[in-house]
Amino acid sequence: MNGGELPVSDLEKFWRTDDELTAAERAAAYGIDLSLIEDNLRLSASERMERNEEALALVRSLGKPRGSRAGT
Amino acid sequence: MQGLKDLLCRIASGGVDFVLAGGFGATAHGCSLVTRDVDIVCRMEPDTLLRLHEALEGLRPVHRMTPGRLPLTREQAEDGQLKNLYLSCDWGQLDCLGEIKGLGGYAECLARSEPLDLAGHKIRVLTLEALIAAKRAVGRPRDLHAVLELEAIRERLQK
Repeated sequence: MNGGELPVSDLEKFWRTDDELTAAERAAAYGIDLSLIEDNLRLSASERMERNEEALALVRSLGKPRGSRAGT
Repeated sequence: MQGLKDLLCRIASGGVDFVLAGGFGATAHGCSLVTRDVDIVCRMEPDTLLRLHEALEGLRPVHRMTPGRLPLTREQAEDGQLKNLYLSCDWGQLDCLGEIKGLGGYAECLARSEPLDLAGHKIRVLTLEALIAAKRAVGRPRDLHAVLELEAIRERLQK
């Protein structure tokens, strides 16, 4: 995803829906990996939430000092 | 380790009437953004807040936005003066909102929600349309990614 790196003035165009792009095309132009959405749509809502937990746990573990372990 | 989904189930099993909104609501619809809090819309009235307080018993809920992160007390729940709650507890962060910009209060959000079965718990989540409307109404740069994903999901589901 590279949208977050764009200046705010450049982000403005992505809020618009009169650009003749499909929503998928607009999302892809912003830098969103549409395959992640496709993967998610194959899951149940409950499974999507569990996937969020897994990603969150990974983020937390990466934020810990070197050598530390979960639960310690 | 227990997480946000377990927190939602806990609140639901406690008899709290709410509508799931925000980033975790978007997750339920297929958004790939990782979120670390649960946003719910509920009536910020003593009955609801007392149920919430009881549901969170043992999870050490504190007001995470206040200095000293003071605990959520039964007295505060009974008082009925709270407009929003920004909590942190052992299972994650929980925001309880009296209304959602662009949608309205609990009744309006309930009317724009759909059922969701979560590990045997029947909860309500804002519809895809309502989530898009809410995030567009807020319009922060950080909401743009979610809007674009949700609109792509809506388009994909309409095919």
